[in-house]
Amino acid sequence: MTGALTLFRALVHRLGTTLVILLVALCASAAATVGPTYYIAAKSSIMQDTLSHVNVSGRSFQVVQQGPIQDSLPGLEDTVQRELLKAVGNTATVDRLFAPPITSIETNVFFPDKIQQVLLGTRTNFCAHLHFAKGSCPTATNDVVIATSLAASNDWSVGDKVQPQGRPVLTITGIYVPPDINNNYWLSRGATYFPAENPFIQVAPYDALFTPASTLAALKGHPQGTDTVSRALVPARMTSSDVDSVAQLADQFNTSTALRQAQANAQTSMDATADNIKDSWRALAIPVVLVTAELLVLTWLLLFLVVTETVEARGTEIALAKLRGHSSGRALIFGLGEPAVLLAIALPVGAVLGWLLTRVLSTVLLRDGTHVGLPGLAWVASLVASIGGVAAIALAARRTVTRPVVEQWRRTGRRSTDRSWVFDAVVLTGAVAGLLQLFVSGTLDSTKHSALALLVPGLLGIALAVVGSRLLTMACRAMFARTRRGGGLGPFLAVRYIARRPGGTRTTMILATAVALATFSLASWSVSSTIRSRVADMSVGAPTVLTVAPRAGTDLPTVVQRIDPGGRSLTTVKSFFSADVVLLGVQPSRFAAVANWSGEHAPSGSELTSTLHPPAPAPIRLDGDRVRVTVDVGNLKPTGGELMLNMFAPGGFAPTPIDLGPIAKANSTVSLTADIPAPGVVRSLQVVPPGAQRIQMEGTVTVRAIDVHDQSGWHHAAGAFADGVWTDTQDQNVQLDADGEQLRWSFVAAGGQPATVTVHDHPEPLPALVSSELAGSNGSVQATGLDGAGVIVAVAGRVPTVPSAPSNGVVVDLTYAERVAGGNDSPSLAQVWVRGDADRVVRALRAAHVNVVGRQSSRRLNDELSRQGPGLASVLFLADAGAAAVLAALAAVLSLSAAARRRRYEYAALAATGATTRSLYSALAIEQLVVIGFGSVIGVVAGLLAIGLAGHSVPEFVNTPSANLVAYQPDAVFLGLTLGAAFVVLLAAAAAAAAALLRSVTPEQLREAPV
Amino acid sequence: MSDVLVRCDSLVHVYGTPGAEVAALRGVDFVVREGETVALLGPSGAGKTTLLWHLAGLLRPTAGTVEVAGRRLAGLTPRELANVRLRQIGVVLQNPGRNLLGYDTALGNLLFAQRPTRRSGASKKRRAMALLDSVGLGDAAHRVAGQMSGGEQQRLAVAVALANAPMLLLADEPTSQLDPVSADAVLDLIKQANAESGTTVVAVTHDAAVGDALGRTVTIRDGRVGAEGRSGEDYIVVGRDGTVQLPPEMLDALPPGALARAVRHDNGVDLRRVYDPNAGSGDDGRGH
Repeated sequence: MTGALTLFRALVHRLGTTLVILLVALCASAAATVGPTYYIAAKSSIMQDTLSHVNVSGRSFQVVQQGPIQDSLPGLEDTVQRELLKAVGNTATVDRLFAPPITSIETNVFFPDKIQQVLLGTRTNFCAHLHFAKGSCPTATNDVVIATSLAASNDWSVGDKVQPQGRPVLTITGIYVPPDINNNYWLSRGATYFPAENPFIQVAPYDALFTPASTLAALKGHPQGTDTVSRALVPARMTSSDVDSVAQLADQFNTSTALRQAQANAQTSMDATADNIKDSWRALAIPVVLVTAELLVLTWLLLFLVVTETVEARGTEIALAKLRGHSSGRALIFGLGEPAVLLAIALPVGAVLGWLLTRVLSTVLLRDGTHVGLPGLAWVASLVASIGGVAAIALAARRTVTRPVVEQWRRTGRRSTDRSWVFDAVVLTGAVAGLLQLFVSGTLDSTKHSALALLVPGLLGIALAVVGSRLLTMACRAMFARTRRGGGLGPFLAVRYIARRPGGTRTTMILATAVALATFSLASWSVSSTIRSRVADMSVGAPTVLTVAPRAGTDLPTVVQRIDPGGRSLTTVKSFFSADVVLLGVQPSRFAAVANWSGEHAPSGSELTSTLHPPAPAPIRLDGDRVRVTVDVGNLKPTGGELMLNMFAPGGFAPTPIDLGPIAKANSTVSLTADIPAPGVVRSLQVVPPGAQRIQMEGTVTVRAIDVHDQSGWHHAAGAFADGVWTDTQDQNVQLDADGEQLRWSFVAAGGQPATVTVHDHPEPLPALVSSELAGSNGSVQATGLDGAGVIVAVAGRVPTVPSAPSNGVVVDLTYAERVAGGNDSPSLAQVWVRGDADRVVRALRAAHVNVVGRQSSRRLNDELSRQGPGLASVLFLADAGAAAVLAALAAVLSLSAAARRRRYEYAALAATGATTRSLYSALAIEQLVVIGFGSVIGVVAGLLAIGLAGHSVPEFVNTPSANLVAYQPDAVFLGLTLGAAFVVLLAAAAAAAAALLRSVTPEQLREAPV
Repeated sequence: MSDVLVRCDSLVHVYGTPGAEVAALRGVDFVVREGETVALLGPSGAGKTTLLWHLAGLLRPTAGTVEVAGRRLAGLTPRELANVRLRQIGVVLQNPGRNLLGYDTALGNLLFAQRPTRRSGASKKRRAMALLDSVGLGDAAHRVAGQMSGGEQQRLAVAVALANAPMLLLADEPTSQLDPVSADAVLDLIKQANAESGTTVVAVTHDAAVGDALGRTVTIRDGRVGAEGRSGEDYIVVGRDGTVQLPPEMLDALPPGALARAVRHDNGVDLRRVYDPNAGSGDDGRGH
């Protein structure tokens, strides 16, 4: 008890030192704890993030069985459950990981009078997931609910009875509003049930009819269809250890004999999701281990330094204990009790602090709601960190036991040779060997990404520090003579103190290594956050990108113009994604203002317009119900050919041919009339050989008029004979003469091909702005148009990265792209890109009957990338290196202060002999400035060298982005300001410690003169 | 005659590194009997403190031996030596503050000194309080040592040195840096310990009063025992090799480098200065 009291009094007596040791030990324990704690939490965050962002197939499975639909579902359910159990293990785990199964039975029904095929289906508890605009849930056999779109297009309403071909009469009990197909309930069937909501509309889009299961069971004639069993993962119930089970489940389904025998197949990409999660984990794991290991080594060195200094400072008290007859063991306990107790306190408290710090980090960096526990691994790391202190205690204990009492009083060492070079040589050899190994192994190859590169700054820092500290000592010794001759007492003392200071190498080494780590991590973080931001900006394309599904007949550019008349915050983009190239049809002026561009490559609106939108004739529109073409038939051989007009109608997949009738004989004038299916634009005129014979046709036809009929009568089609509007695209030796009044058309068409003149309403080929990675050598690129057909574009400009398709984007004018597609842009993805208040735009679009079905933002993607393994690792590295730098700073100040404290008698003697306080302060300040400055400079140099050598090898992303987005140039201003501020704080702390020390120097200390 | 407690035979101690040695003790023969009080006198650098440290077992002799209570200190293991320091030797160092844990209380310092003994805590505390009473610090048991005056600290230091009832009390300049009243009090304490417990005392001092107060004085000069004083009278000590050191006040008669003739008597030897060795025998040739 009295011993504990004495210990407590001693700790209070040396409060400053006690606090510093406690702080260092706490930092060590906390810093060591952060890595594992953060890693475990980050794994969970990564998993949850991935699951929340992956498409529905990535977080669910759907087993589909096609064939007779009656009585087949229960067997399929049993088979699926058995396969689940094989993969996951037991029912409890299955029920924990997955939401209850959702089953469905589907068949197609046909309404011949409407020429509509619609899906009739039932699904577990479907009424709970539909919102009824009218009516209610069907409960009786042959009751159905229909979608609003189907009701509108057929003028069906609640209570109507409809009868599909060969099926019983169905009674409509409700009309539902199409739900969000990304909802978990619909899983992968959403697009099947609700094609009208799909932006990629391929077929006549009619949403499904839903009916009770009894309706399908009662169908006669062995109806064919689809049974499905779907289950979705419940991410909130998943732990990191479940990821392997999920991956295994996909394998189990893929190789299942039972499913094969049942002619069922599983559709899921959960295995890819699991792989993605594990890739991200791997990207985080190695840096965590390396960073934690480096930090542990650093903290060991720091603790060794601190504990040794403390024990040294207590030399006289330990000597007193020995003098009073305390045995070696008791003297040890007495002498080392203080640091040991502080370490014992620091271990749990530091671990908890590390945990709290991780919680703060997690709040900022990880997914909301991520649980941050204090795992056993963190306690182990904290314990391992404290082992450094224990090792320091053991080494200090050896000195305490073996050092004679008198030497401890005198504070002098025994006669010994200077063997510190052995330690330096071992450390230097190890560091250089490590660096060589990294180079030889190819870890630092610029084409690879390896977290082992994180070892470089530490190794470089150590190597340079060892060499540098020796050079510093030599430089100071070289200054002896000069400072003896002049320069005042301050420099005189300072150079001698530095040259003779024990442990100088240690301080420089720790400081340099920590600063090197801090510099490297700051620079690395700066680089990676810049790249991440750039990748996010360029991958999304604009601050916000809305994927939309306009109602039929709604012209999206018109809506956009109405919402944003100024053209600075909104643009329409239609894209077609093919395997190699992404074609973007854009409104050039708006696109230039709204899209994210990389740096100086942003074009102005006028530049982009002049590049992508050269003048071209307007299309010839046929806005009516009939068309009439008046032609003078000149010589025509053979006679009797048919005059055809091909036109594009909205939603059509190809030009619609309109047979105008025969142009029976030469030298006659005929007016040919035909109905047109829907308003559209003229694509071409053709003269087809009579009887479709494979013969050559020659002749001259003068088209005098193209008229269109609407409710107000016949009108000339505008621009039908504008300059340059007709062109020969078939190479048929066509001679054209359009004088604004008529088209004179001479042709020679061989091989049974119809004579053709095509409307030239867009540049041919389309001028395009392309990614520099794509640009071909011949100045053209093969892409796919908005209609899904191949199109060749001419490279009119190159940019390093194209917004939304950085490495494979082709930007063309939307108007021309739509003309090329003939108005058939349904295979393309319609988007509205927004710069500004996206919520307002969404409201405005919905008000204009443009359904918003998806939303991306560059900020959100940036957040997601930041939460992937490498992003999280870089922040962890930054935080831990920051902690290391703080530790090193503390240790440096403590070391310098302890060294100076040991010289208090000397200072007192100098003061007594007339040395001014200013001179003494000057000596101390110069010493601190040189030692700290030198260590810091070496550290900064090592850190910058490390960035040059290994910066490109540090993993920045799970999936490597376009090379044009990656630049390894840290922000020099950020780096300079941060490091400069840290250096100033460090010096200020050292100066304050020096001032406090010198204030306590009094002549009274001379009474404590060594004997 | 009582038993010998301390014996130094031909004790030599050399400080320094090879090539820069300083001989602090050059063959000291020195005996202290149980119950004696001895003051070690001599000029600064004579080797007094070195001799005292040898007696405390803090240094290993370069040559010669030191025995305390019949045990040769150089032959003891660290554990045995610690035990000797615990039970048989109490040490008071020169600076009062260096004898104490400045942050601990007076009582705490005494308990700290007794900590290795196997007595009960209560017994240790009783002993501590008794000692504090005996040194006049009974009321200061819970005062922090570092905040006491120099005199109080030195009295406490003596109490700490006596905490385990040592046979031998070694004190280095016990009265230096103290005012006369405090110095007298410390001296009284030392004498009291000797008188009441029979504690043998060896004290290094420059203070003549201390020398006068103790039973015997031993003067160390140039690393050798130069003289002894008993009952107010000083005697030259003849060294093992026959050397004698003249008192400084006689050096004007026989200054260093002077030649002298030793003339044997029945109970001693006369030394007479010789100015001219060729002038004849029995006289210095000039008379006195």
